[in-house]
Amino acid sequence: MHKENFLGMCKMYKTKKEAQEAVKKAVGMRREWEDAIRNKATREQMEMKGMKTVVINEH
Amino acid sequence: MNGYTFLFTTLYGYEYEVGFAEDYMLSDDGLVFQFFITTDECNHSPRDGNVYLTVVAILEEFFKRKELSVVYICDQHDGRQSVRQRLFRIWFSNYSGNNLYELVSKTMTVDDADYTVNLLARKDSPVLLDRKEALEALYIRLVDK
Repeated sequence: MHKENFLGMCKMYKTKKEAQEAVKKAVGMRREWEDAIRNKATREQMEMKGMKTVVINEH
Repeated sequence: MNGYTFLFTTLYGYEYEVGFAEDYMLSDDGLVFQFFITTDECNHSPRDGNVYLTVVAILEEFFKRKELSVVYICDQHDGRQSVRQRLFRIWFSNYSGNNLYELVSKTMTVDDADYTVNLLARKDSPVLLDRKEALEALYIRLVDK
């Protein structure tokens, strides 16, 4: 899909379609996280998806 | 997909969650994170400067690793894209340490939807140039005919 890169290499997309898909994927991922949080997913559910939460000012 | 969030409650009792999720749009090295701030849809909290201070403190902690970068995407799905983008810019310009960071913003159109992609990184990051080049390359590819 794209040039695999290592630390310090610039990621390039060969086609406009690939670039579009990359943006949509990034936006979709963020919306998924936000929706999970807004829908009050449990901490366990979030962790199963790979998201850990730190509670800063728990009383 | 990995990431973490920081949950805090304001003095007014409103919860905010600041998140960092590994993102591979600009790089595959796992050092770019998509940043987001989430709060309850019904949150009509009064203007609270402590939210800004808390978010800044979280970002400062994140950027202790100078090779990390943040991507903050404002999209128009809920009609608040310009509000978020403006607030993000204001926060950055008000931040006393902003001279240590570089903020690059590009607005892109995908399938008739506009997205403003903000790249934030330390100026002394060893991969800052690569990140900027990747963002520019993405932008250029998207405006291809």
